[in-house]
Amino acid sequence: MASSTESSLATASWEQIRELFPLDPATTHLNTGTVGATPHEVIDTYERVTREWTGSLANIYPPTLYPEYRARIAADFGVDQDELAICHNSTEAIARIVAGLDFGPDDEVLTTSHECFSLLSNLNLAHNRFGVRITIITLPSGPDITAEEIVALFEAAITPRTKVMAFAAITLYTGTRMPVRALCDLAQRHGITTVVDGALLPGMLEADLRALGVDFMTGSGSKFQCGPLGTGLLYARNKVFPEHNPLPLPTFWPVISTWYPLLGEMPKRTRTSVETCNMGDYLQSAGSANIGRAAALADACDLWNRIGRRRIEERVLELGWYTKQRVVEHFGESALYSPLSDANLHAPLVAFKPFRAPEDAWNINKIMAFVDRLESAHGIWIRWVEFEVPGSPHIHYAARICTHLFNHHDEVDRTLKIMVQLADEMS
Amino acid sequence: MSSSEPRQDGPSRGGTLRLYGPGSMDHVDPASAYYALGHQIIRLFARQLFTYPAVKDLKDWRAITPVPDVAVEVPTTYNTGLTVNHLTYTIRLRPGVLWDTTPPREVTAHDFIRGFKRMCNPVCGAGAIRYFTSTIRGMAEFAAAYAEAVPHPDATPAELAAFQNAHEIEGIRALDDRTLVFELVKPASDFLNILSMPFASAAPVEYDSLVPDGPDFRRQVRSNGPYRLVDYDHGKFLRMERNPFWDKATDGVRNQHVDAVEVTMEHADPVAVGRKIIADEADLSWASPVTEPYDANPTDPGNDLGYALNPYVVFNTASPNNGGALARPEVRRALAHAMDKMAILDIYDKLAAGTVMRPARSAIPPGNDGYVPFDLYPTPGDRGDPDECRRLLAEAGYPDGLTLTILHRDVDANPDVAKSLARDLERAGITVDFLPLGHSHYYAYLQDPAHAEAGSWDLSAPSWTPDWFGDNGRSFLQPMFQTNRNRGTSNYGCYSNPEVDRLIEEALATTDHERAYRAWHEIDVQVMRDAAIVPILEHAPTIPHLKGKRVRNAIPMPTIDRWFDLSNLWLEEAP
Ligand SMILES: Cc1ncc(COP(=O)(O)O)c(C=O)c1O
Repeated sequence: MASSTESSLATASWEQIRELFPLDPATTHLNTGTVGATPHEVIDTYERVTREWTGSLANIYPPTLYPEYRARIAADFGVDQDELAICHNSTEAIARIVAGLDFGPDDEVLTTSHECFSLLSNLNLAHNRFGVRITIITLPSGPDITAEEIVALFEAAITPRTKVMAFAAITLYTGTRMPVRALCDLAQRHGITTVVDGALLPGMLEADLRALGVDFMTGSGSKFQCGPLGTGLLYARNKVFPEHNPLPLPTFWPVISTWYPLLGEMPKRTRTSVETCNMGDYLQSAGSANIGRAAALADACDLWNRIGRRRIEERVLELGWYTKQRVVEHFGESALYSPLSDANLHAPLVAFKPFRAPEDAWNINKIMAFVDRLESAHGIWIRWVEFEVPGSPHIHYAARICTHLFNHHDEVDRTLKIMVQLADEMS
Repeated sequence: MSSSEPRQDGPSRGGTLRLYGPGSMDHVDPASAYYALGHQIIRLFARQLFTYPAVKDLKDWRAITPVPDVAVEVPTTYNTGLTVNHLTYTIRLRPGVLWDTTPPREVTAHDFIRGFKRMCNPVCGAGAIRYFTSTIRGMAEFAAAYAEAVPHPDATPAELAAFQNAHEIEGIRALDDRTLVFELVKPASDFLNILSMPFASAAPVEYDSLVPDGPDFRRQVRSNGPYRLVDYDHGKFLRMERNPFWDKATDGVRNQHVDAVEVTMEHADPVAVGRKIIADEADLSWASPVTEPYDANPTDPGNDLGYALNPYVVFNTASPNNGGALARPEVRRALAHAMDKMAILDIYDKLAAGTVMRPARSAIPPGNDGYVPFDLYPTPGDRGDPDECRRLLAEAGYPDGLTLTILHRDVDANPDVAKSLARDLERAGITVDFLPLGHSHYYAYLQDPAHAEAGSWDLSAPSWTPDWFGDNGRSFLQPMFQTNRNRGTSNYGCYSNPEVDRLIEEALATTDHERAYRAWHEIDVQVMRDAAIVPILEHAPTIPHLKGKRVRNAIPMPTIDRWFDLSNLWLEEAP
């Protein structure tokens, strides 16, 4: 039975796959960047496992180390369970990474103004707490931006004090898929630790975290991975594979841990590709935890494997590309804030200005009303985003469409048609 | 409930609150009023986007934290009011806040924009204009263009309105009648404090046809608060009555307990004012420090609330007298040595104002951001050193001394302070003249650079209390020392040092609190090196003002120099 389901999912049509999700037929869900739709079977797993453990007198501490779930999920991202912890969301993961780094007042962190508040607020906390200097660059936006431009921007901002580069794998405002490998190469050349906010990555792109060469990565379990709300991933490089990242492991304090020794120190961390200290356990063991949640996330990951992660990536990128084409067709290329010409920067998040008047791009009321009316009058669920644009004194507000495997082209077409009408009415 | 328990009833409604004393508003126009007594009155008729609530316990941080006034809520990143770079504020206005116009009209975002533009007017501008121009994008450019287009202080309302209505401040926009957007040039953690200044009041379109703070303005000033001015005789009398169009449902901080507020302004000394209050012929003092008997001496409130400089000596650096001697820092440094601070402390001690005071040495007194103790002009026991003054004057090329005019108010301790300063200066070989002025003209006179430039005064002893507390590094240095020669300036002596101007902007650009604190201190050192002023006394921010026996719920407000919030007190007639 199981194997036949697997093969059928790998070849199932997208219409059939859509049936896996409890989507409301009256709404168009184009906001997976905020929260995905949890498949029926993942909800079932969550309920079943929760029932199994509820009222049980068993010692719940050993199973909340989640050794099996971690191993399963880690494999999906090209890493091992000693490098991975299941946590509550990307924000928690980023907070624990920032709090665990060994910062001093002479250190500098290089980041961008296009990061999620969850990263910027934790960096400011580190600034206030340790005196770390935070250097913020503003990423370019628009159809013509290139990966080279982004890497050059980072390179120009590196100083001898730069200790960490922190950036999103996919930015949530302009939907720019960052050149992670190239940025890690740059960082490694300067002995810099990389912290990647990968909230949007799991479930969207097939990724090998080890091959990307990152030191730390976070992930949301409930966005593109479509696990239950309150799930996230924390990856901490725990072994040295020189072909991917030859730098020694950065000093890291596993804050929020009941595994950390009560006396003395953790085992020495490795300088080779052989684990000597299970950082994942130190991070995972943090008091009692919800087992159903982890089981459901592992199940969501499993479902993705059965459909095929590469297949999903191709599907979402194609839908994103399709959306960009339609936006350009209806609103013009200059309306796009998301990358267009450099396909390496593509992600299935498309940000654009729906209104013709330039000053409407910095009118928060208009974009809010636009998004509200899409939802209330048409059942279309997107979100608006705000971000800096280099050289502009204004904060820009844009509409963001986010497509995922359960969306289809008709939804995109219908949405854009309605958007054109609505924008006309409001212009 | 036993009959001996005090009555727990709510506020009483009615009665006329009577204030009495020698004070005066400086201006009625919120765009230029910059004196605590005036702000006590303005709070009753002019509303801002944010303001301070009346909070009984001065140690409670809420007493010094702005809350929404006409704004709906405090903008944060979570309610989308504040962008992540802290440069854009989106502020939504409450519906239903009305002007007392005929017919009554809602206060709009455009009224606030008009208020911001009016602050830059050349007739009578905002004393702390640089809080705004160094913070809001395009406001400095707007002010500069305004000054160039309408350069004369006796411009007509039509000229002013023509400029204001044809030009925009780039960084302030009304998205609609109830949404205001502010764009800043740099993040300002004190921006809500700045928006809580009475300067930042809304202004109705009717003001376009009035000279700022002119006689017609004072007659026709409009209200959107609980009271409105019905009678105003500058420096003599004012009466406010309930504004029938004010609705408590739209105002989270003010009330309308009393029927009317009357202020009788008369030349009276603190003893006479106290006698009136005790005799129940007045309810509260207007300007005179009359202290209530207290159980425990209210010494330092112990919560680090910023001290005031009261008084300080300001030099008229623009004075043409003595061949422009006061423009020279060497001369001012010499004079700084002459002053006997302890003698002035004795004068204030006799007033028994019930507050802690000490000789002051820095422009920023304790409890305010940037305060670090230092003394560039120490004299034995703070008693002054006339010989050192004389020696330094000779060194500066004035072996025969100078002739200086002291401008002073003719009420309370001020004449004695002037005499004391004169004695100190005469001991150092300086000839002193006096220019006494009534309370009602004093600050307006000081705020007009034309008087400074004409040399009608050389030094004076005003006081300065911080405009807000906590994170207030700019609240002494920016209004007092940054270059500002517009009418309405609070840089009375026209001190101007480009290096200080630059350092102030630099300190404002420092988001790191500790570094900013040090930067403000460095500027303090620089202005003291220039001897732009001589700090005389620093006062703890507590004065237990005397209250008449009918007065209930009188809550002192730190942001109006501990004068009471008249919009929250009520009167209880004896049973
Ligand atoms: C790039 C990025 N980082 C972090 C987050 C925060 O994610 P979480 O809710 O999992 O903490 C988001 C949420 O939208 C995001 O898009």
